[in-house]
Amino acid sequence: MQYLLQLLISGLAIGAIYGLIAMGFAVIYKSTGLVNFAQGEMTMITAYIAWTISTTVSGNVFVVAFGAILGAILLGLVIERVVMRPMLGEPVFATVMVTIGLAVILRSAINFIWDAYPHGLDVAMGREIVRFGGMGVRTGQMAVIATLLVLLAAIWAFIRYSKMGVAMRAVAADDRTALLMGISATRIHALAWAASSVIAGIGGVFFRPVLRSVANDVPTRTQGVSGNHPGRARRRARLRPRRPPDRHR
Amino acid sequence: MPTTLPIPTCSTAPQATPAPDCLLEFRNIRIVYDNAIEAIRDVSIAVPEGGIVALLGSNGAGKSTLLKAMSGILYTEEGVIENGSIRFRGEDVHRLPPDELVRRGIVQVPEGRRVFAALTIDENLQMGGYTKTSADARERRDKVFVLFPRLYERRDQIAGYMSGGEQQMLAIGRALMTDPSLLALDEPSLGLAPLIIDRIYEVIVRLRDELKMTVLLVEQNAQRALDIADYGYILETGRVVLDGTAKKLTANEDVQEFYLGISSGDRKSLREVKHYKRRKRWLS
Repeated sequence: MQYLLQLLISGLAIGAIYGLIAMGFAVIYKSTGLVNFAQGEMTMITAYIAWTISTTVSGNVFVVAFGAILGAILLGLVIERVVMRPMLGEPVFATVMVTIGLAVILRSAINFIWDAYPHGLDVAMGREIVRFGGMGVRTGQMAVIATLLVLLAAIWAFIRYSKMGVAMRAVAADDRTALLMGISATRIHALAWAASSVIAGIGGVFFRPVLRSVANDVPTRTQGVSGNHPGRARRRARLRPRRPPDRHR
Repeated sequence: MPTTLPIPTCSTAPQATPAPDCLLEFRNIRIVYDNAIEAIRDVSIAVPEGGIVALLGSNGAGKSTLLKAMSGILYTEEGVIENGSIRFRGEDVHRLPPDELVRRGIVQVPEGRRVFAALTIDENLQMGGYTKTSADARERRDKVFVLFPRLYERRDQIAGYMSGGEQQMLAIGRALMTDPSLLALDEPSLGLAPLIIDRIYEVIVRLRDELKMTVLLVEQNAQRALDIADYGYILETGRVVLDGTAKKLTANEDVQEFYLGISSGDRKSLREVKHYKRRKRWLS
C-alpha cells in the first residue's frame, strides 16, 4: 500500500511535468488557434539553457531559474517574430506544418550547439526527502506539483478575466476582426509564444530532479526484472554495451 | 492647381463637391491584390464630417476593398495601395497600422458582423474598447447599453447564440466602443429581416443626428441606403461611375433602373436589358 502511494506521488510529479508542457500547447492554441509541434523541442532547449547556466555560471537555483525563464521568453519571442509572423493570415494547415519544420530545426540546433547526450541538471535544491507516514517525497516532486497547480490557476484566471486574456481568445477566434478593433494581433501572439515557452520550459527544467528521484527511490521495472532474472540481464548486457556512467540517467 | 485647392478639401471628388470640411478622403486611389488583380482603379471619395455617405455597387465592385484599405488591413489579403492616398482630418493615414487608425477614430463594422462568437456580449464590447483605458471603456459601454438595451439584457450571454439582428447590434456597439469619429458599416442589412433592418437604420440615423457621428455606409441595398444617406457614390468594377446627393441619385434614371429596380415604361425582355446594360456603360 505504501509502495503504491509512493508510486502515485512519483506518477503525479511526472504527470505535472507533462501537464506543464500541455499547458504550453494550450496557451498557444488559445491565442493563435494553432497546434505547436515544436513544443517539445522548446521545452528541451530551455532545459539545456538551464543546464548550461548551472554548469558555467552558477548552480544557485534562483540564478538558474531566472536565466532559464529569460532564455525561454527570448526563445518564444524569436520564434514568433522570425517563424510565425510571416505565416499570419496563411491557412492553419500550412502554419502547423511550419511548426513541424521548426521542431526539426530546433532538434538539430540542440545537437549543433550542445550534444546529443543526456545531462544531469544539478541545482542545490529539490533533493531533500521529506518523510511523512513512512513515505519519502522529494521536495522537487512537491515543487513541480505545486508549480503546476499555481500556474494552472493563474493562466486560467488570466485568460478568463484579464483584458489581455480576452484579447487572446478574440485573436484566436478572428484575428482580422481583432485588428479592426485595434487589437495588435502580433503583440498578442508574441505574448502567447513567450508565455508558452516559459511554461513548457519550467516543465523541462523540472524533468531532471523529478525523473532522477523516481529512478533512485523506486525500483523501476527494468531494474526489478533484471534483479530477478539474471539470465535476461546478461543477455541484455551482451546485446548492449554498457554506457559510461556519466551518460547514464 | 495646388494654390487654388485649400487642404483639406473634398474637391478631388470627380463631380460635385459635397461639403467643405471633409473628414475622410480617398484620393485617386488604386488597389491591387496579389500584384495581379486590380480591385480599385483611380477612385476618389470624400466623406464630409457629420453626414452619411453611401457607397453603393454590386458584388465585387470594390466597396469592401475600400473599407479594408481605410482600416489598414489590406495586407492580410495581399492587397497593396499602389497609388493615391487616404486622408483623415487632412493627414495621410494609409500607411498607419490598424490599431493606430482605431486610436485616431476610424472604425468599421465588418461585413457579416463577425462578432467573437465564443465570447460573451460583455467581452465583445470589452474588445471594442481595447484601445481605451478601463474607466473610459466602462463609460463607453454604458452609452452603448443605452443605445441598445437589448445588449444590456443579454450581456452575459455567448454572442454566437444571439440572432442575426442582435449580432449586428453587438457589432455596431463593439465598434462604438472605440469612440470613433468615423464609423464605416459594411452591409449592415446583409441577411436580416426587413423589420430588423429598419431598426438598424434607425440607429444609424440616430448616430448621425444625436452623436454627430460621420457614417460611411457600404450597401448593396441601394434603396435603403439612399433613404438615409446625404450623399452617395456608385462603384462599378473598381471605379466610381456616379456620385451625387442622395436625392439626385434616387432621381437618376439609370440608378432607378439598375439599383432601385424601378422599371421605366414598358417591360423589356432580359435580352434587351442585357444589351442595354452593355451599351450604356457608366460614365459614357
